[in-house]
Amino acid sequence: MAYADVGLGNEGVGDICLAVQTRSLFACLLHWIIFTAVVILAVTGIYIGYPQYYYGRGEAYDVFVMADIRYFHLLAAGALIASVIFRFYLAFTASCNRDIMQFIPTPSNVMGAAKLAFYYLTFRGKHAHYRFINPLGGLGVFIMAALFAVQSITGVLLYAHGADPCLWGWAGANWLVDAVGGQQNARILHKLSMYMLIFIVIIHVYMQIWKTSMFAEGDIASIIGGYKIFRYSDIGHFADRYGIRITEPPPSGERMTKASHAMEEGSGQNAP
Amino acid sequence: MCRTTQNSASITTDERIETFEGMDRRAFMSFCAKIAATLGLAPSFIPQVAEAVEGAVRKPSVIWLHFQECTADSEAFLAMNYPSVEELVLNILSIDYHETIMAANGDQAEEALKKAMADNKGKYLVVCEGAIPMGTPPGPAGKPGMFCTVAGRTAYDLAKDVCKDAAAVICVGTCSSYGGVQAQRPNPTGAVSVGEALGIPTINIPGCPHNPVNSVATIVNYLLLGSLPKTDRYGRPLFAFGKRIHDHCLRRAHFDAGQFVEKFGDEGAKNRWCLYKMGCKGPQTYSNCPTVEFNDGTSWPVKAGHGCAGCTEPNFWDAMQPFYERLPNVHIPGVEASADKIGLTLVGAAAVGAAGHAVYTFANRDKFTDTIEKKKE
Repeated sequence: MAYADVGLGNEGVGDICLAVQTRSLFACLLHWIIFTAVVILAVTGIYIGYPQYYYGRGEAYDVFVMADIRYFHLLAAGALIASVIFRFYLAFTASCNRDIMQFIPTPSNVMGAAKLAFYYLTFRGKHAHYRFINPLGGLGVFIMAALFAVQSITGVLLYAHGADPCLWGWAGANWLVDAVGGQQNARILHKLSMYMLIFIVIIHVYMQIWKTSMFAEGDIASIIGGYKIFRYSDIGHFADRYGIRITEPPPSGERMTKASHAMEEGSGQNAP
Repeated sequence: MCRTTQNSASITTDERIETFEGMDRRAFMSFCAKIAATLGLAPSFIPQVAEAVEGAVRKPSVIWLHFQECTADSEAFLAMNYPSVEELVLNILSIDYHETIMAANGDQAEEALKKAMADNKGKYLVVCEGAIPMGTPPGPAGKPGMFCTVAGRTAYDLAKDVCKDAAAVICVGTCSSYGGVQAQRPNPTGAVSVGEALGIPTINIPGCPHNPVNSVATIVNYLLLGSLPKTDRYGRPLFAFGKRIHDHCLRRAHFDAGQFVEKFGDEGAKNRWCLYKMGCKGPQTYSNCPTVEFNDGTSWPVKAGHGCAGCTEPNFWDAMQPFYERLPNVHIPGVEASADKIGLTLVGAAAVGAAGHAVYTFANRDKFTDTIEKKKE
């Protein structure tokens, strides 16, 4: 990873900025595929739930609005499920992506999330820095993934229950309907999960825009290119155990080169 | 052409044969063809259906029990024209006990029941209509199940006694299949389905009321094959309840085209558009109403312009109401609101929270440490 002597305005020399890789380019791509799929699912899903005749004018042999929209809904659902599964797989592999522990709500993650939330609301004290997603974001992603699971299961149930048991055989199984509490319950769950996902997306998008404009750490850049910016003065209290630790004050010249090498060794699992 | 006698016990074998021969053969074969089609059998089976129906030397004894019900299932059964009720009751089946239509009452009716059970032990079919209450009425004299009593016995005791020696128990109607309207929240009488009350597997033919073509076809299946048809997880015969209404609805093309009725009587209703927005529960209901229709093919709810109410589904009184909305309200303790209201409140709260947070933090950003503004200093 590179370091650069980047000044930001008037502060003069001293604050070194470091570009740290938080995810690979492929993980970024998956994020944007998921984003597109979720937008398509929400828009088509809202039509399926609340259809408007305006789009169905014409003869029934000519017009296939609902049928087409259901088709795109299903297509986007397939893309979403595939992308989420692949991203889940990536979370276990490849040093630059191995962030699975950030998404599991362990007690330390939940505490970290609470502390960060407190900081974002009150700005009291200092906040920890994380190489990968921070615990608050991780919790949000965990909830989102759970909601995706609910949506996928209830969605396939709504689509295929009652169909001949072929590819969709498991979705045609009555035990699945009983497990969610009946056909109508499946629909209520599907609708409520949609609203909860919209809730989370609003918070997520707002937080990213706010965070990047408030702290200038390149959060939005990191989901496009994979790298975000840390300031040397901040990462002395680097909290992420998969991240980078620097315990000495910033040296100059060749000692700075050594420090950056220390960071390279510290990438991935083996933080000193 | 059709004889009517009041008391099945008095009809002799000769009279029976005479009535069979007096019946229009074409009408009889039409009936057999209809039953074969309902069962999903090929036309080559029609002669076998005819043989099974008319060849039974001893017609199967059927005991029809009523519990907590409105008798619409009997009414539907008796309103069949094809075959007529007389042929059904007297010639094709031997309905030995049916409180609504039997001539006897009081002690004679109870005697008829006991005689039918004793004569046909292990071989009679029990058809149940109505739910069995398991709750206890309040007051000192209340005993479990006393919300419904027949001849001094609770419905539960009657059902237990009659069903123990039955060849099969067929539950017609939503009440006996699932509990029905009395089992709707809060279910004050503790009404449950017959299968649940007795703990036995039953063939369920739900519907409010059920389609008599389905119950007659089930009985004929029994006559023909000696066994009951394949059922789904809820005990419903698959030949009738294997497909969603939505998947063989006559208005499905309008659903796929996006043409919906917005209000009863509007242009869409006149053009017979899809009733999805009027709360039709077709997409979540399994039944053969669009194919078989009611009253000998006269009509069914969607054809008449009213959305399906979902009456063949378990718990339909709670899950499918309001009939003119797509989904029932969500029952969270303390909150009773539709999923839309809950969702929109959530989303609104998120938007308002985000906006408030943004305004607050940007207005005060110079006060906060660790932000970009501070770093500029």
